[in-house]
Order: sequence, then C-alpha cells, then structure tokens
Amino acid sequence: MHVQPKARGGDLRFVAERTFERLGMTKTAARNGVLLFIASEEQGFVILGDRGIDEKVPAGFWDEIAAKLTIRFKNGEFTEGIVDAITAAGEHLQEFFPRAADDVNELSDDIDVSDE
Amino acid sequence: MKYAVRSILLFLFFSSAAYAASPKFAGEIWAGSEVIPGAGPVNVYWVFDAGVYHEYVYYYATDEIRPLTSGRYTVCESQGKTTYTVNVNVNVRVPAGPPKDDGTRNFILQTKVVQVPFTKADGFLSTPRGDRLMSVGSFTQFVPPVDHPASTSAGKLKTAPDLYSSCCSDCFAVHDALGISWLNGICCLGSCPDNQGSSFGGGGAGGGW
Repeated sequence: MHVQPKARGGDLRFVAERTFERLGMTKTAARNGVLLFIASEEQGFVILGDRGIDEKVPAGFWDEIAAKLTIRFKNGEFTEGIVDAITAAGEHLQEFFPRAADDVNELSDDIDVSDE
Repeated sequence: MKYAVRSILLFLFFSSAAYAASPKFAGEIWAGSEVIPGAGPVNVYWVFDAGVYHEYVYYYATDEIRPLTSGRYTVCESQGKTTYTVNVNVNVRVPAGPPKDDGTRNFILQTKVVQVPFTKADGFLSTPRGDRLMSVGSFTQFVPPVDHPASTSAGKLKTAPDLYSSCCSDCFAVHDALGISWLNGICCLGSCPDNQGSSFGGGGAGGGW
C-alpha cells in the first residue's frame, strides 16, 4: 500500500502504475503483486494487480473491490475499508494463486508513505 | 507634448532592449535523445533559468542522471527541424593534464529535438583528460559556477541504479520525478509510443470519496 497527498506528473492511474514499478512490485516471480495507491488530498485511490493477475482473472475483477472501498471511504471508514479491500483481494486471488508450501513473501507488507 | 512623446519612445526603447536581452527559453526545459559511443542511449536535458543553463545527462544503462555542464547562455534558437546540433562552448579545466590542456571546448551533440547554440558559456568542468571531452562518461567532477550555487541542487536528480525494469519505464519515472512527463516522447530514442512500454502491464480499478 502506498499513500501520498497528490498524484504528480500525470493522472492518478498513471502515477499509481509508475509507483507500482518504482516500488519494484513488477519483480515478483508470478507477476502477482497488488498495490493499493491512495492520493489522500485528491481523495482518490487505485487498486492495481500485476500482469500475472490480469492474465487470469475475469474482466472487472477489481471493480467490485474498488466500488466497496469507495463506499467505505465516503463513509469515513478508512481503516475498515482498507482492511476489507485487502482481505477481499486476498480471498479472491486464492482461487487463481493457491498458496504453495514453498511460497515466500516477495514484497514488503509495509505501508509506503510519501510526503510529495 | 514633445516630452511625453520622447518619454514614450524611451520607454519603448528600453522595453525592447530588456526584452531582447532576456533569455528566450527562461524557465523552460528542453531535451534531446541520442546515442553516445561507449555510453549507449542517453537523454540530455537543458534547464534554462534566468540566463544560466544546467545540462544533465540521463544514462539508461545505469539509471542515473548526472549534471554535465552549467553556464551562462545568451542565445538559444531552435532551427525548426527534426534533428539538430547542440553546440555548447565551455571552459574546461584538466587537473590531470598540463595547463595547456585547459581552455575552451566546443561540446557538440546531435539530438532529435532541439538546437541550442550557446555563446559565452562560462560553466566549467573537471575531466581526467581534456581529450575525452566528447565522451560524456568521462566527466568525473562537476564544479558549479560560483555565482549560481543553486545548480548544486542537481544532486537530488540522481536515481538508484536498476530501479525499474524497462527502458521506457525508467525514462517515464525519471520524467515523473522531474515533473516533465510531457517529454516522454523522447524516451528510448522515441521508441516508447505515448506512455506505453512500461513494465506494469496489469489491471486495476479506482475510485474516490
């Protein structure tokens, strides 16, 4: 998850995708990284799944998660909304990327925060 | 009446003189894309700021932006063509060589975007050998003009090596950091169609509140 005040240098989706790359999230073996990008001052967010996810999930896979997150955020339920979105994404993706015995966490679970 | 007319003429004269002396591209960033033997493809950026230019080279091979030259400029003219020559006249100090190696050099680049002929450039460089001046990779030390300390802020432009995984996304990310994404057309010698060519390639959805 990444949080910054505004999306500089392009629209929200473009900046989110560049952030996805900048954080090294395209370097997973199965290309199945997921990023929740939040521009707090712009009051916008994008949830992204890498190429490996996009090749397997049906069209509109992220739409329901984004719609529910939008409602949560509009109600001021930021923490609950984020937790639910991440939980829902994980549950849905289990179907396409079942956990293997030798799985390792390739990406940091830390929240990346930028002041710019 | 005569006094009023003369005042107006004097005002117009000085206004014109001031306008003519103003840097044409003040506050703008121009850029080119080229291949330097031994260094591979690079982007070159000229940042014009109140009569002083700062030149930076972005090396795709190392994901690094290095300040190259800095100096005054008095003339900046585009020739209105697709491919241009950039001729930068700089003073060079050669610490490892004899004093006769110091002096003025013309630094000539072929670029796709602009021609920016500089005159009276007084930025100066330190290089291992003056005869390596045409090899951009040989520049080892940047000495900003003493009257323009702001140019030392160029250090913040340096990016971490191998941060991204494709030429286009490297260039896009650097441009994003510099706030010049509108220059993405020069990335990777113009081979990135629009903003395509990134390493992401996935999907997603968004919303707001």
